[in-house]
Amino acid sequence: MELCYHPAARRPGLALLVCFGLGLLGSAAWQLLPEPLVTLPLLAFLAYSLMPFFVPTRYRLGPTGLEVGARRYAWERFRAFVVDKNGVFLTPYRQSAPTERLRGVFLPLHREDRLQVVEWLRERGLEERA
Amino acid sequence: MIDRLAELVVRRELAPLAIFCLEAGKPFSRVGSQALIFLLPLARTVLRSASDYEELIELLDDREQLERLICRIEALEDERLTRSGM
Repeated sequence: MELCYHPAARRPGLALLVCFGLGLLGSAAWQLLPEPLVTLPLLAFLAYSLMPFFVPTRYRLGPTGLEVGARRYAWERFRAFVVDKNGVFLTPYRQSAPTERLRGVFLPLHREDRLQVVEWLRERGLEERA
Repeated sequence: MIDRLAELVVRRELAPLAIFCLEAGKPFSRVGSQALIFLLPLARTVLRSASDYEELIELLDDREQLERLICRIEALEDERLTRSGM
């Protein structure tokens, strides 16, 4: 199963607003500090932090593992999943554990993809956690 | 080696700390294995059998093996947590 998460394409109005905000912040930074060595890295950092919003993230759920961009995770690593309104969190533990945020993988997903992924994970035998 | 280490860690309830350290130390694991190779002659003198020590060097040298160790610790820790119903 292959999926693509691209919030900017789904909400072009919001994407435009974010671009406008970014431009506004850039011009404010330029007014306060008219120094390209400060303003440009600041803008680049801001733009980079918004990458997951503007750039599509591709997932591939295969029979042996999960691929998120260039990273690959074996299914043996996950035993349960938690569903929330923004996506699905895959965790190595069936009970809550302190290191699950470190080792788990959160998949941001659109609503219809989320339902499909949840169904697929259930079929794979992963436990759904509240 | 992986099974023995994982069981030892989980039995002592050190899984969260071990996972955190192994995950954080992954980028430096090769440096660690080289340091252990440097100390190998000393280990051979002090230890009765250095086979475990050599296995540890091999484990640290291979990131996939390290990942396998973390996964094994997680599997055992998951069983322990499920059993205790935490």
